[in-house]
Amino acid sequence: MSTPCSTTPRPRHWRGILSAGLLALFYTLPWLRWDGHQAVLLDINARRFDLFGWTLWPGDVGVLIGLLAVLTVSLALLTHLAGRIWCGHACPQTLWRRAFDWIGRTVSRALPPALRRPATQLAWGLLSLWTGITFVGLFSPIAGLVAAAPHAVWSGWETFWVLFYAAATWGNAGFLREQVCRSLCPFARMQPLLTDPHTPRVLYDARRGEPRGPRPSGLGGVLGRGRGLLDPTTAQDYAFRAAHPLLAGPMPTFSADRLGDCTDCTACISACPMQLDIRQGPQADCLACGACLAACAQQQHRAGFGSGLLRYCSPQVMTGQPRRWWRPRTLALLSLLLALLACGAWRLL
Amino acid sequence: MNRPSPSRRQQLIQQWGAILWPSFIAAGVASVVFFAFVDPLRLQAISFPNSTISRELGYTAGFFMFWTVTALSSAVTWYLQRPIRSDDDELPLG
Repeated sequence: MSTPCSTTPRPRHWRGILSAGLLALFYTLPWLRWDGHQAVLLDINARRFDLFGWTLWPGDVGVLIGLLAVLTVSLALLTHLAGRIWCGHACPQTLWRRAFDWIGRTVSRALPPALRRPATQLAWGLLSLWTGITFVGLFSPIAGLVAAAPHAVWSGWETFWVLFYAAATWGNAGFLREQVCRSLCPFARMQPLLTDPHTPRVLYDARRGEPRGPRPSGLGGVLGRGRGLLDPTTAQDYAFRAAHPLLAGPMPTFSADRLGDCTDCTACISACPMQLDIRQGPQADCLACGACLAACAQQQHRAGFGSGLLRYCSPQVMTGQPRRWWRPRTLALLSLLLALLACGAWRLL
Repeated sequence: MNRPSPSRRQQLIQQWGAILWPSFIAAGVASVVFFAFVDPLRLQAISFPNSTISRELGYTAGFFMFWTVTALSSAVTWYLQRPIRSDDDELPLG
């Protein structure tokens, strides 16, 4: 029988804490000390990179490129095995967009409507500026950079790159936002090459949810009241009709006891940063951030149904097939990673 | 399939993004690899011995030079991929 999917979505604050932790890591990185020096300092002016007591010189460029290659292949392997968790939880675009959203929400709760827009823009600007300073602080000792800031004695290049990076942060997280993931990100376009039907993603259980629709409260879930799951073809047909009303014509009307567990509350759509309807099937723009999982679980819990109408699992597992860990792409990526690590070990040891 | 056609703003972002963003990444990679081997001060010493520059100016100029060239290449690719407008379009049929 199938391996059970993760039916209980993690609580929403878990994602917020992870985002805050990763952002804090970035902002504290240039402040870390190692043997009395800055721990991470890519001093391109002196042509040396210091990484926690390990110094790379221009002749070590092979090591640096190898390190980048190992990180890239690891990311590909992670995406292949676990889905787009990088996009949804760790990508800088997601982290800063989430931080900007949080600022926007906090400001609109705390201030009267007339002040909200200027205050949000000001806070976004300050965060962008601090991001620019932190970024340049990885290349130029940050203690000196911050000490010099009030006296405006930065070199022309430090000023330029702080402002450039601040503008890039504001432009990506405050202006372009989800357009970056939708239209600009090359990694998003590479997903079909890395994933296969065994890769987990956010999926809607149409057999359980369809036909969707509002109903009187207290009716109970399909499993509890004995309606059971639909057969896959009928479920897909209902999901298709709901997604393409112009093409498929109006949905038939169902009596309340024949309805599935989806109450058509659209909480999943409002929670989605990309405004996708996950019930229309797997979509290329889905970042797998899990916002819809949390929103749906909350609504289902409120309606008294079991969890798991939206699930983070592979299409194979959703159809009841057993999970397979070793696939051709897994082996290819793992071999590449091991080969790179072996090269690195041979070069360094 | 059922998504509305992208708005003018989205099209513009897509067009400019497709030119500026890949060229930015390519220029970043090119700068890292190039300046790992070449010291901008030595390059200046053999190319413009009468002027003095800082390494930061060398790196910044190098990066933006790479970005200009890669963006130009992306822009030409974008231009060539547009559908060809035939002169016959204006002529009446028959």
